[in-house]
Amino acid sequence: MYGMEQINTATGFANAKFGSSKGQGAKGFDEPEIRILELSKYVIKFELLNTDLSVANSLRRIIIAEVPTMAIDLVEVKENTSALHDEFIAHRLGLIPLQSFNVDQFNLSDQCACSSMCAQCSVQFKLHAVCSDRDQMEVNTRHIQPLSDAPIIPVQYVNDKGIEEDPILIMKLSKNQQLDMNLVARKGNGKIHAKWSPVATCQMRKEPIVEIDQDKINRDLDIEKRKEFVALCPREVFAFNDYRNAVEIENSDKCIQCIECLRFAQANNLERAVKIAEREDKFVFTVESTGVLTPEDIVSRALQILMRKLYELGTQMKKYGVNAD
Amino acid sequence: MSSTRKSQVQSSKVASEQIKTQKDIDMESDEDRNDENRNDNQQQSRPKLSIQRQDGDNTNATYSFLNEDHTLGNLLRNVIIKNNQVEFCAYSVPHPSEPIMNVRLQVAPSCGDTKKVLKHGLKRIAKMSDVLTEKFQNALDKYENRMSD
Ligand code: SF4
Ligand SMILES: [Zn+2]
Repeated sequence: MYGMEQINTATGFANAKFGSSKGQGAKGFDEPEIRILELSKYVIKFELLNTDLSVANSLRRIIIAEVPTMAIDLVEVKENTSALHDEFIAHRLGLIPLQSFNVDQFNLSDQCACSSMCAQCSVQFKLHAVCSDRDQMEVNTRHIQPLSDAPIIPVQYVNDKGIEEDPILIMKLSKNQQLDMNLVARKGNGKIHAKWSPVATCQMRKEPIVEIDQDKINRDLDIEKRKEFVALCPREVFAFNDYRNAVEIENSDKCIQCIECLRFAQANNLERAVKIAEREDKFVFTVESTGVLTPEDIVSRALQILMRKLYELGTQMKKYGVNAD
Repeated sequence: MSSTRKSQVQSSKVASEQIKTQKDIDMESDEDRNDENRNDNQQQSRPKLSIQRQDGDNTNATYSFLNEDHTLGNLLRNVIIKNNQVEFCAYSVPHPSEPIMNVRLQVAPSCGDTKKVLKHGLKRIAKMSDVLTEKFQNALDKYENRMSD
């Protein structure tokens, strides 16, 4: 059994860390805010405000590992006379991003009613390439031919100007080598294997707070030292105002909490003049899609997955005879 | 005659063994379990959520979640611990390759039942994710309006 002391520690910790636990609605948990900072074809940046680290982290984890997509999962090798061995090519094929806007049409293969595979849980492709008339040939995603009319195809990247980029290179063949494979794409998520993760990066950071006591710094440091102070920050958070000969904060958002400025202040007996911290209730997300889904779609799917998860657990709780009150 | 060589390669080897150990689950009769299998085409032998606790003591329990991990565990713990009737709440993932997450919950005798507290925690997260979904849609609309202006 747990001793009384331990229980008290736990409660004490809870109170200390999460502020007043008076009532059930600790501030800022039920009223989160979202603000979108940037949205492009492959990247979304947004702020999540008035919320807890655990919420932001759950969202991040779901985006990376629980948003389902399609990826090549089974490769049948009929002919491979290339320099690369079968598994090596199969692994490369698995990592090719496939457009997954219609992923909801499909079942996870272990939950499908069929015995091995069917049109509801898999998409078939053919990869056939022969190098006969050249010394060398590139095999790329354009060689992957769908065998059904399911709209799952390798992602075609477009650059900022809307021009199509080169297809993804899979491998090279030299003269008289050939490749003949059947590919099967299946639905999955990043928990099973990273190839199903819809994002290249999903990072989350707390917003930095940088405060300086301008009066003190500009009074106690000579001009050379002030310039030194501005220059030591690796992220150019501070600026030197030539009219006032004073240090100013230019862009506190760039700060990476390296505390170089704090150390400088301490060395010059100005401990109190510089303050570096992070906001505990604001998170800046950068989600970069691999192209399988649009970035805004990834985030809203992630939120829906969280909702569905809780709905399922809610029905499970009902089975235990707990009513919704 | 083409001498084709056939080999099948799975491009990821997935450990899809299911954990079949059925720990003691109270409050669930056999009929319930059959019912669940009929509704679920997943046919897991283990329910998504099971309770381990001592008979007649409702103030503490360990809840076992199937197919959950830190994503839900940490979130749930942080919500539940804000309830001041809770004396102890922590979660653990016993082993990273087992799809299981446990939540240990102890509440004050005046509160009565851990199930209520857990239910309340789940409901609060559900409400919050509801709000988040809506807020995200609004933010998107707002952003698109701002861009088209
Ligand atoms: S902590 Fe580092 S990055 Fe941040 S303001 Fe100071 S010197 Fe610049
Ligand atoms: Zn099927």
